[in-house]
Amino acid sequence: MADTKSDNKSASTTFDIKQLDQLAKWLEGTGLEEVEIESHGTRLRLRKPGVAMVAATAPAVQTAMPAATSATVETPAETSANAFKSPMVGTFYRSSNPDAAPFVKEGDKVSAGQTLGIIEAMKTMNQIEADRAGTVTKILVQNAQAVEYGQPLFIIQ
Amino acid sequence: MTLLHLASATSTMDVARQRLEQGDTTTTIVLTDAQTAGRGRHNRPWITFDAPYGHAATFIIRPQVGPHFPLLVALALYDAVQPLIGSQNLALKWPNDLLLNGQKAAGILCENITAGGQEVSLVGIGLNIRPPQNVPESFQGAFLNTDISPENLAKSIWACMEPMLTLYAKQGWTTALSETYVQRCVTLGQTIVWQRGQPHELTGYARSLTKDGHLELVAEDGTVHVIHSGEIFDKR
Repeated sequence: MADTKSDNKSASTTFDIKQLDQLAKWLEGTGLEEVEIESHGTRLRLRKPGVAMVAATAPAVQTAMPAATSATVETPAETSANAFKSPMVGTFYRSSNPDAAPFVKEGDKVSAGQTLGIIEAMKTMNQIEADRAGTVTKILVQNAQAVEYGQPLFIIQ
Repeated sequence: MTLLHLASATSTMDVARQRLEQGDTTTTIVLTDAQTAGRGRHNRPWITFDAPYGHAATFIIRPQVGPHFPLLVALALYDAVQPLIGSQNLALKWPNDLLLNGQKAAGILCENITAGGQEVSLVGIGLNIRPPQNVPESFQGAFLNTDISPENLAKSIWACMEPMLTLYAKQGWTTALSETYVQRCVTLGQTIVWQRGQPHELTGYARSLTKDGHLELVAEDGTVHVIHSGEIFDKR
């Protein structure tokens, strides 16, 4: 119950169970540990892993997060804003083969649509592309590293 | 179905990609009689004998297929090959290896790419149809031992794959698809070694297929793991 936070600024809007369930499922699929949403004076905070505490307008609602199917992903606060996140679960590769140069390295300028890496899932090689133009300031994963859905892979500023 | 039949190519995967980048929106099969630089994942070399002994083709699928893509390819290839092999034993190894009498019978490379502004799935399929006069001693693959022409084999594969992918696009990974896959997959029920990244290795029992098409492994310590990438091997 440590993370329950209830700010009853307004009783006009509340989150129903269906919405909470959807949010919980969504959060499980991201690399985020915690999310806080404020809407019409109601503040809701969901937190992974295990049992997340939910606060809403009275009466307070508690919901259990679905059990995590994989390791918890850490998302340092300073990296989340410009993070390029993994679109899938798999094994990340920085180059097309072990002898090839990496698709990108730190300091490289990239354009939208440029290949950043490959994620192998069920032996399918998925080309991963930049969703925006910018500079790759940090690469957060190693070559041949297992990655989770929503896990930050790059910082693109 | 639009088939491009080449006399020679470095790799049908490369040709397919080049044609997409040049704006080709219609070709569905790139077939070559001779492949000089066939490749597998991570650019590992893959040997396919020249026509008429081998089949080397890339199938271009628009739009991109969902996450069960490699399993659907395996099912379609099984359907295409089964009528050609008589009473020989055909099976699948998770996720998309085709085994003929227990030996690897096909090289399959699945890729999801964007080229020429098109988001497509590519699947390269190398099959050895029958042995040429001189088979190198180092060759360890299996031959279908049939006399189908490479072009007709490519057309058969497409004829099995296209309706399956259309059905999947509409209905997803149905119970029927899953049951058929499980029936044909020899990995389930086996003790396997899973390598994911380096140097992680885990030995366990392949218990079931999840709805996402992943493999559920019960490790020797009783913990349950979901395998979605990496390599698996039979426990020797």
